[in-house]
Amino acid sequence: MKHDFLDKYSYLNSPLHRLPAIFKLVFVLVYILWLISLGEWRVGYSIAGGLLLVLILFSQVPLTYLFLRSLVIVPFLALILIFMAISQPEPGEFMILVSLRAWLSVLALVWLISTTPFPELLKAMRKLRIPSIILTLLGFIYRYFFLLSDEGQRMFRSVKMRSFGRKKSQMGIKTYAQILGTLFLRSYERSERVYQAMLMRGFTEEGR
Amino acid sequence: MNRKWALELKNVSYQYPDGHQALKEISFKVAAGERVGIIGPNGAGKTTLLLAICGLIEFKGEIKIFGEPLTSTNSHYLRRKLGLLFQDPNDQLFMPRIYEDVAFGPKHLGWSEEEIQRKVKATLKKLGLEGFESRSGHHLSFGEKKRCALATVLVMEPEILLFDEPTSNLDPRARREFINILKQILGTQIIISHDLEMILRLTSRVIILDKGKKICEGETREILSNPQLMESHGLEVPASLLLKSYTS
Repeated sequence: MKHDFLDKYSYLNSPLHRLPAIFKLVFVLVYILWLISLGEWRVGYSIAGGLLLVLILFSQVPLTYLFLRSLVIVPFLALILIFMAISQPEPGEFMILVSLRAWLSVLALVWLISTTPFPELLKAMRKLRIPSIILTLLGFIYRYFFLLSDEGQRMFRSVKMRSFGRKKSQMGIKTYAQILGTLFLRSYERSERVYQAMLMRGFTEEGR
Repeated sequence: MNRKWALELKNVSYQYPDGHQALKEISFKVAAGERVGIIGPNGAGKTTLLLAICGLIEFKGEIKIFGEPLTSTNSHYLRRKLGLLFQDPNDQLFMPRIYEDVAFGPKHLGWSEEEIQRKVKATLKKLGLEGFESRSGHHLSFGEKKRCALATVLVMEPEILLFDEPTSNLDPRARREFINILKQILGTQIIISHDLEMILRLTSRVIILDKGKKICEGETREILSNPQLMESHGLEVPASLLLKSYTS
């Protein structure tokens, strides 16, 4: 199974990849705060966008990959923009500001993930004193995201083997709902086993 | 005879919340340092039995670990003496990197950072896993995952080791290597498996479970070479024993 879609380019060897994770993490956090504080988008966001572009080019991560990844914000942004269009008397300027702010923030985060292996990022967060329960949860999400996607892929493959050329649209929403239900159940059962494995190694609810 | 019992089970029963009776009045004893195999068909309750021994499910009856009765209040403490290797290593490798996975148990035991580093390194070396520290669980082969999972158990130096299907899904070489590792590990071991050749090689005594009940227990070679007994419980006489009876 293919496993490199989450932090695909984080193991490249550019000068920016070699930079300690904590520098990059703090930089991105400050960068996002700076974006939020900027009230004027024409000059301010041109500088911010230019700076990020330089960082992306130096990191050797393909621009198109980062751009496509950053589009994950679009559905959320669309919802906010619709509300703004309804509620604000003259929304034009403000909508551009909010869109750029959200998109550049996400782009900076995607750049961070693409230049820093996830475990390094977790270590950096630990240094910033982020509570260990949150870090443990993030670690689990990273670890089991791949397994869940593997399991989903296998199930859809088996659906394909038994759907005999029927198109997805013909199979109906019920089939997909059932597959998702099964996937949820399996994940739940796995979470029980993982918890048992943690108990076997001295884990207590208070954590350490 | 004054033997030191590592594990004593007396009338252990367990019923799933849906009403299915998974274990029915199971009693047996395992001496310290002994290797015992538990065999039986699918759904016989073998894995459930291991979970009960570890105090991970609420059972009826009595389980003693080195003479101390297992209760819900002391299970955290008694589990330090037990090491359970799960059938699916993915359940056991839950941290982002192997080092953190192997260090997870020792950290919760409150060992010093230096000691943890030393023990993790030594355990990985012992299992031929040097250089795996910074690798992620999902990038490993099944055989490597299994060995890493074993490292997470062995690093805590448990007195009783419990193995749930240790050789399932392994290729022949990985299986052979894994069996050799198990052979070198001393201490009390309980091995659940359908790999009867391995059971024959490693254990001195076996227990047959079927439909949640203990059918019989006895010397491994004697039980495994009894075709009526084996076949009536979904098992088979291992090929090596059959060959021996043909040639002799």
